[in-house]
Amino acid sequence: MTDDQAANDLKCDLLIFVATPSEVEQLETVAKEMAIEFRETKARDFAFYSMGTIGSNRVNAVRVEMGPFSYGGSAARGIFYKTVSSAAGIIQLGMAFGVNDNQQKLGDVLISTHLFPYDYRQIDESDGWYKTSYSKVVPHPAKQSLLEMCRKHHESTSLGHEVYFGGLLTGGAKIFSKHFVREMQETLPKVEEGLIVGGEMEGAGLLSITPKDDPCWLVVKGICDFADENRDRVIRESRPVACRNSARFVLSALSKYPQL
Amino acid sequence: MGKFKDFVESATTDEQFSHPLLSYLVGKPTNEVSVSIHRPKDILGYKTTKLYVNVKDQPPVEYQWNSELNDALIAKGIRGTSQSDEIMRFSLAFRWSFKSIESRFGEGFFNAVLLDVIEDIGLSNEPPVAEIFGQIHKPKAYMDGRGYQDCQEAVKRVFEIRINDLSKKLRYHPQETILIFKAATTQYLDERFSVTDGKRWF
Repeated sequence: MTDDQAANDLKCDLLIFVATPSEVEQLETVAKEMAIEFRETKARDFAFYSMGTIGSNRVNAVRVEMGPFSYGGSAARGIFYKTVSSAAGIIQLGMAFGVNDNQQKLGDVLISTHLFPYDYRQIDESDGWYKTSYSKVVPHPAKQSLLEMCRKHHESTSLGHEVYFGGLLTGGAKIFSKHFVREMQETLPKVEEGLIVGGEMEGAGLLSITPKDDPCWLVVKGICDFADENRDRVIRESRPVACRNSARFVLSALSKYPQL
Repeated sequence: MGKFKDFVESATTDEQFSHPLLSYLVGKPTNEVSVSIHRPKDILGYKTTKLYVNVKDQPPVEYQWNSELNDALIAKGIRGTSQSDEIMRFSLAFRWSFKSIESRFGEGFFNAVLLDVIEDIGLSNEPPVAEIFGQIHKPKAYMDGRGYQDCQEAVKRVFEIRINDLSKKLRYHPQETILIFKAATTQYLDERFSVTDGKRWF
């Protein structure tokens, strides 16, 4: 395939972003189960997985580096791929942490009505130490059309896991502390559509792609841990199911909606 | 209950949107008011959009872009300060109007039907639309079922409403209406499908 043909194949309506090898692997597994194409295409300047037309959307998947900030992270890749693919929307799939291990379970799916980029916190001097203020961390709403599609799918489908719609904390930190998460939950402004339901890393980069009042993104992720000291141990087992559930939720929604 | 009953009985307004600016403009002749759109190009996309309201003999007043406010100003017959202001204003108005259709039908289906409608009404061959339209990779819509017709009608209706805004509410001459409408559609398509920005990469 020539670079021109690849550039042509990259044109699509929606992009799916995945970050880790597990996320790619589970997306491919679910795609195959659902008889959806998953063909790797490489050109000189870019690479992607062509997924053909799912429902009424031409879909391609792209692997980004973990986190928002690096050269290959979700911000840089998002700006590039959104522009060259003409895609109207981006769905970030993968793994996230939950915030309530009494109610939520590993493998449950989190869907962002909003993102809270917590890196915008302010650190001030206070009595010889420092204090953190989250007053500058404002909620960024997700793309309404993608959110609607997920809501309809959730309302009409019985799944083997729960789905939580709400705010997601997002930033570059790997979090191993429940206290840090609780501090943010208690301090951040409340959003109309519910509580903070979890957190993740790549969403922060998606905020760089489009203006706040015209977002192109949605984050859909499976819970793989609860941001505590057990994080790395738990992830080893929970990773595949978290990635698989988020991938299956989105591909099923895309294949079913809109009902025309 | 008496106080609330009085409130219910005095509720006569049917206006959905209110804004201090609209109250301020009551009684001002529309030919003494105009709006300018400030939307500087960025490396990719655009910087934050601002709307300036210019009232005769007064300094312009700045507002953040607000689609509902823009529609209310159009309804009052307030024109853009220049033709380029009007073109940018209507391209942003398209984005606002098409959002609910996109939500209902999904990104891909809306893209396909939008391009079909543009072809269907003969707009795709008209400059400057033709130049951008020819560079868009066209998806094929699933044309069976009621959805196609519903979406097609919704898109056409947005076009008709915006033409009506230009010709009836803003009282532009037919030739000016066509010129602004075509340029605003071109601008909208260019942004929606990242045509000009996409070419910067390769």
